[in-house]
Amino acid sequence: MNEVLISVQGLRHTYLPGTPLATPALTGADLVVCRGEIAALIGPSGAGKSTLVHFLNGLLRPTEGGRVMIMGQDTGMPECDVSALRRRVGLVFQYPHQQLFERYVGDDVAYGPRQLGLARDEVRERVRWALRAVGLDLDAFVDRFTFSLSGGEMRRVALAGVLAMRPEILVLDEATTGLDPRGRREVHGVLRRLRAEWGMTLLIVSNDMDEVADLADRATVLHQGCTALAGSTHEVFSQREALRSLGLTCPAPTEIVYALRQQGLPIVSEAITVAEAEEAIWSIMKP
Amino acid sequence: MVHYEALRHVTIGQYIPTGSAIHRLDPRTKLVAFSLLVLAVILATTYSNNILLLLLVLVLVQLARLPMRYILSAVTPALPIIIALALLQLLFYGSGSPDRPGASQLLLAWGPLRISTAGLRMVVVSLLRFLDLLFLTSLLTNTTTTSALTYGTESLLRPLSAIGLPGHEIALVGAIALRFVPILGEQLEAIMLSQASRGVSLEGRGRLRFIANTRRLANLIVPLFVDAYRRSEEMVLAMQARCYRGGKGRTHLVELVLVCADYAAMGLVAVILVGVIVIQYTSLP
Amino acid sequence: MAEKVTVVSRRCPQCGTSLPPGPLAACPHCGADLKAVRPVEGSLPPGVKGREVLYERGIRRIITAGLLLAITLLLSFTRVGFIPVPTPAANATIVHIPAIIGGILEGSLVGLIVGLGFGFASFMNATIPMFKDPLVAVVPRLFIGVTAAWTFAALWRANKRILYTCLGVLMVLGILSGYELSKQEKFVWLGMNLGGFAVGLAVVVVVAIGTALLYVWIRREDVRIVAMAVAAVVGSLTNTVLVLGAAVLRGYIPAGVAWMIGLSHGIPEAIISVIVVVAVVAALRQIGRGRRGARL
Repeated sequence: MNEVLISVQGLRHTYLPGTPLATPALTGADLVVCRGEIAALIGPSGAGKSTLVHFLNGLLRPTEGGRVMIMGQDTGMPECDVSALRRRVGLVFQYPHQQLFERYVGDDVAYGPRQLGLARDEVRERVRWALRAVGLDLDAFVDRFTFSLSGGEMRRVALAGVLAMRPEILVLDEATTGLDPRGRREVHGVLRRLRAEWGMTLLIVSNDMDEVADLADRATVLHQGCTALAGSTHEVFSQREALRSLGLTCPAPTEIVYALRQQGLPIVSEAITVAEAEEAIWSIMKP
Repeated sequence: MVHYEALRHVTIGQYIPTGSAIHRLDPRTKLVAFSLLVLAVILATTYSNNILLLLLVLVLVQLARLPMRYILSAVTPALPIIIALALLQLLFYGSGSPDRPGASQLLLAWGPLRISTAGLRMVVVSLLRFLDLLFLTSLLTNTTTTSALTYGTESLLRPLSAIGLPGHEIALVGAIALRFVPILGEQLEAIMLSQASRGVSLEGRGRLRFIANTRRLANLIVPLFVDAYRRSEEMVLAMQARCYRGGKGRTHLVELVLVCADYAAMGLVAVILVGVIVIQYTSLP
Repeated sequence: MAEKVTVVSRRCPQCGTSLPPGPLAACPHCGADLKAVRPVEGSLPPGVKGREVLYERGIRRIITAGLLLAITLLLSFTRVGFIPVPTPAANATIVHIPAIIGGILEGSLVGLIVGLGFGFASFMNATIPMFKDPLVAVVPRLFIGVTAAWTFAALWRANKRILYTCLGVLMVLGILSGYELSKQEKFVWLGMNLGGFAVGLAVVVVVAIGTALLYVWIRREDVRIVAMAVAAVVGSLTNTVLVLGAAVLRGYIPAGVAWMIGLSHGIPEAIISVIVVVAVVAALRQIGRGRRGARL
């Protein structure tokens, strides 16, 4: 069993407490993420996924109950060093144009390293590395105006800006929502490379079951602020009835295999990706 | 810790529904009455005028069944400043106010400090005027929803188009602004969160670093403006696509209608304004 | 039959996207250099009347004013816009900046309207007697955007020589006034006695250093940025001077206090305005700073 990097237990949080608009955002959420894995957080809109994610780098601190341990540090304790935490846990948000603010791309990506007080050469190296990791060439992009980039390019620059801090854990809050399939595939490629080459641990927040099935090893399902299911992606997606009752569907390959099984075909395995479904169907078609 | 979440729910002019007669008035009536009464308050500089106006305004507030404590609670944090400024006015006020030339007797003099009757009048009148305006703005914003107010403003400004002033357009500016405040608030919240995640400390770090603090604020504001600009570009296209031609000949789904109560209210306010002007020119204190 | 009208070419020659109005250095979509693009004499497509091309500018002004007013309201009603300053005054604000930006980007009418909105919000929101007076809160604010707009319009295409000349004139005035001040015996200001010579000398030194710094900066920087900065200072000072002036005229504060507040509030606010306005407008119009690239 790998080292546990993130451990959230019984977390509670109320949105806008003390006002007429107070609503419970989290009512006992649990989450476990181990080193080197790609974990996923899924759930319908309004389940509290974004809120939970804000606890992971100290933007929110647990004040109403529950414990958040990030890499051995309890964020509920006042002596927890939040800025150090933010260096080690990088958070990428959904809309890239909310994250870019410098006039030039190079400056924006370099912002994080400069805040860390690194030397000029080191900063330049980090920027080069980060841009290359997301598939952009340093010399072509470093002097471009950030606000003149296309949507896809902005997304990559935003990711590069977080990567330049060399976080150990990367959390992506709906980072591919709204992308076309090709863009999504490219982002997945980047993420897989980050885990394989740099040993980064990833947490993906997503509504897209197919993406989660493709990419993630473990999944946690959040429903109305509380953890409903958790386990490896195979375990979670095999519980079709439970997922349905929470208002979620399974990935398309799982649904197809299920439908075929309903029609009487003797498919045994639970496929969650296209490749597995292909394998399963092929195995019963052989004579 | 800054409450990020609160940015999304910025309230402008808290509407308090109490179902009073004033709530039921047409928003145009309330706007016209408000303007005329504000004018009356500005013109009034005598003790008697201001006391009468204050009594009137208090009656109106009672009529609207607005909670007095709520209205006054906005002032409590500023009380020290108000008292300090009032003392300053009292002690350092120089010559008489130009509104009421005439003998201003010196009550006390001590070095550079001097208290005169004109100064005393100035302070008392300022305070009374302040209370009047506080209650009047409360009467307007707490009894009328913002959508009713924008509709009323647009309606009132419509006749201006006849003389070439862009009345409809100005009202539209207000409507767009109100519509976008929560959207931009959400945007600002997201920007603050994402910058915080990249190691930007959002709390100001001491007064002497104010250039650094300004840079940090500029970093927050620039994406907000760029986002607003982007939205404005889209809106221009959207309006053109819907053949927006300005205010000429525009009709509405729901039309506002004036009833007796409205005319009565406006008439009453007009009488009050005339009364104030008259009293201003008599020799009442 | 098509009307012949001068249409400023609004499409990027490289990628064909339509461009927003105003001076642009690079295409927002493909980054192409637009400095060489000239207005084109063209004809409108049949059926489109000349008035409709102008109409877009009207719509754009309404929308810009609305959104800038939204930002003003947002800043007024939250605590975002407060910056602590190292002077006795509590905080400087940036709430007047959208009015300045409106004036620079879209002209005096938009600046006027955003200023009106700012004044109105300030009046409605006010909890001290001085600001609960429409003549102090609303009327002076009308001019913030207008003065900024005129300043920017006058300077943004100016030859740098004109700017150097203005700077020279200001320097001469500064030195002369320093000289005059030094001739006086002494000063009584806020109850303090200061030697006239010392004050005059201090003024001359400050003027000299300031002029030198400004010269270097104007030389290095794009003239549009200089224009923006000056417009920002003018707009911010309009706010400070007219509001405090109105407060004095209406008898709320004595002139001495007004001067004190003006200097302790007004100068930091002017500096803040320059930084924020230049950052925003340069980003929106994509104008590069001194060096044309990132500081890597």
